[in-house]
Amino acid sequence: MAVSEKTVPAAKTFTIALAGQPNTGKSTVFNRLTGSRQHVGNWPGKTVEQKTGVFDIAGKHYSLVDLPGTYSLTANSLEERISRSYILDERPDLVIAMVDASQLERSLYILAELVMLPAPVIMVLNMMDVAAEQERRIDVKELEQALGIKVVPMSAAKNQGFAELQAAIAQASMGELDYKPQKPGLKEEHTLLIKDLQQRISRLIPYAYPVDWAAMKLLEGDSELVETLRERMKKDEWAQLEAILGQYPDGALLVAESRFNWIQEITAQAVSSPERRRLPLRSRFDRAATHPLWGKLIALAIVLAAIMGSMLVGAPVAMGIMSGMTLLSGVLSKAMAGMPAWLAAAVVNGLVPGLSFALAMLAFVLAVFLVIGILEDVGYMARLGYITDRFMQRIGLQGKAFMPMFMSFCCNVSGIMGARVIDSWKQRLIVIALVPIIPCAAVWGVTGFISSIFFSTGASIIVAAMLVAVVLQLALSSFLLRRFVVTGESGGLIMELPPYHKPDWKNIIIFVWLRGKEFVKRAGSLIVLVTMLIWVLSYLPYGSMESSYLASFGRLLEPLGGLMGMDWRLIICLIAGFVSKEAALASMAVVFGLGEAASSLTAVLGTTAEQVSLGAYLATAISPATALAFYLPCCFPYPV
Amino acid sequence: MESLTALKTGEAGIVEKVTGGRSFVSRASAMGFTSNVELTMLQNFARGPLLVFLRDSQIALGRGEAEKIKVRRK
Ligand SMILES: Nc1nc2c(ncn2[C@@H]2O[C@H](COP(=O)(O)OP(=O)(O)OP(=O)(O)O)[C@@H](O)[C@H]2O)c(=O)[nH]1
Ligand SMILES: [Mg+2]
Repeated sequence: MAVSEKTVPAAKTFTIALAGQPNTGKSTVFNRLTGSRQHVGNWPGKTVEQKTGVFDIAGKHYSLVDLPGTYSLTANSLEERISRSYILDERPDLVIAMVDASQLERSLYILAELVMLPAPVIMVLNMMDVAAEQERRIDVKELEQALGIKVVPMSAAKNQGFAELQAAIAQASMGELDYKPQKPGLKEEHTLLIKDLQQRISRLIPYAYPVDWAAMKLLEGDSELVETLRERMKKDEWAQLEAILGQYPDGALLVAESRFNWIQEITAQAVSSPERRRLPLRSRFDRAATHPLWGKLIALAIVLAAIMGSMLVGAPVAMGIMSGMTLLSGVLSKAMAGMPAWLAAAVVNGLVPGLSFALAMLAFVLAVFLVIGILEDVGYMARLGYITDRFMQRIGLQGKAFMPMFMSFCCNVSGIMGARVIDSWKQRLIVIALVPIIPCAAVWGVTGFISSIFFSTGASIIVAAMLVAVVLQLALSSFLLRRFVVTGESGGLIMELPPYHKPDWKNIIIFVWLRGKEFVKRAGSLIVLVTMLIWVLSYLPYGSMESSYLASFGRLLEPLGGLMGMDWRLIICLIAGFVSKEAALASMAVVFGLGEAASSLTAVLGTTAEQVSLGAYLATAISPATALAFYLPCCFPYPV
Repeated sequence: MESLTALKTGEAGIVEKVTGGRSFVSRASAMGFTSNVELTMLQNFARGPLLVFLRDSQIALGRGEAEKIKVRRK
């Protein structure tokens, strides 16, 4: 090749990674910097959520990545592996280390790890407002000097400190920021050990790994590094190394201690009330919320209120949309009178019902996300995990599994993503296997919607009864899974109960907005597609449903469905439900003919009495609604 | 030296040692459980998980996990 491949690279966008422990305000900073210019996806091949976004400062473009919140960067969990491999392999131009000023000592721990890595770091000292309430004075200049890195004090939720942060980012992008970090080292008695380790591994570790960092990680027993070295080393070399490490079974503790000592040195002069507060200010509510009895009652009340509340918000909106759409289809069928009959039929009987159901469903989904977003942001979710731990142990899970399970009520996908809080791999596996049993918001939407039609005021009771049924089924499945599939001891509980914070509406709205968008993208288009497909099948070949392909297919299966008391139309809906639960409802609209009927689904069902109508069917018992939840495995929880 | 589970609600202690597998030690120490750190038991009922205050944070621990953390009473 004549042309050199080394052409000048296009000016790369300055890339920034946000790192820090959980609840330090990463998302708050992320949301306020990027606004709506963000994108939620998955880390390649992983079920961990990846948020990226862009923003401008003085006309210059920056891109920002929200790393998963982790307490350390040891390869104990997927999140920790993701965070550190992002920093090591993708080499962001800058890392912003989020530190919580109200829990300074502990949240600095991750900084002690970050400064060992090659990417330059600036530190955001967030929650300064809370620190001030605690009467803790932090001398930022002093801290900067002790650390050797830029420190930006902020109260992100109060919009304070963003100008300074942006200025620091701009400076860093122009290479104008001093970066001479003070690095934590082991106690003197261990310097020889570390030197020795470094020598043994320096040629063998991955290119991107700094050797002093790798030696420390090795001493900590980092599983990923140990695996790599075991593969790459000669047998005798590895045996020697293993023998040395074997002399330090407390390696992880030694290293952690050295980091906390480093933190103590750094903060000794900079923090004016260095001696720890003996006790937290536990509010009356928090005492109750963590009490074995009261806490459970509160949890039960909150969970039920959350689910019913979202039904109460969602149902009227959904009904409104439905009747609006019925009006619309009436208007449309008049307006389209001159057009070909099949086109008018496609719009009025296919597209409009499909769209209206997608929209009605969206109302429920948004309502559920809103409630969950609030509980998460306020800090109650962790209490829920703590208080439900014993109950969850009884169905073979740990308290941490409650949160993802609870989130699955809003969307199985988010539940599976939420399983990240579980640090035991086995537990995580069980939870991921169990989640699809849980009816998600869409199903609650379907059932809430249907039961509000048939039982009006009794709908909440139906929904509550279903909840009980789901819990029983979860317990049984978990038992079977642990008994026959994922055997072995289950992981235990160790988690932080973060301080309560006022709900941050900006965070919550962005949370709801992003999920809503995802729902529309994924489910919305699917629903419309499925309803259109079903409509086409029900229209061809003669333009009447009774003699259509769909009907003959449904009738073919009728003997089977008859066992469950379903006629061919319900069977079709059930099949649509395999594609997505929402689609089941939407296809119901098409099959039972929402457009043709006078006013609403109720009327439609009332007039089709010659066959086992859905109404009569549902009215006889709750079980069919439950059956709907159980037998419609939604296909999209498995995107990866 | 006794296990963390021996501390009653309101009692303070000092961590002596964290035992157990490497992964547990690594997780617990990153959350602040290291030798010589002072902690206070916020909640210890006869059954169910414990609630501990250390390094300005409230940490919930299962009883099995708390057994692995050895403390000296203060
Ligand atoms: N008082 C106060 N609260 C804040 C501040 N910054 C964030 N918060 C609140 O702290 C809570 C946690 O903030 P997030 O931004 O969700 O934290 P995070 O680091 O993204 O947490 P994870 O995603 O769980 O790792 C939210 O309730 C915020 O509203 C602040 O400066 N002051
Ligand atoms: Mg976050």
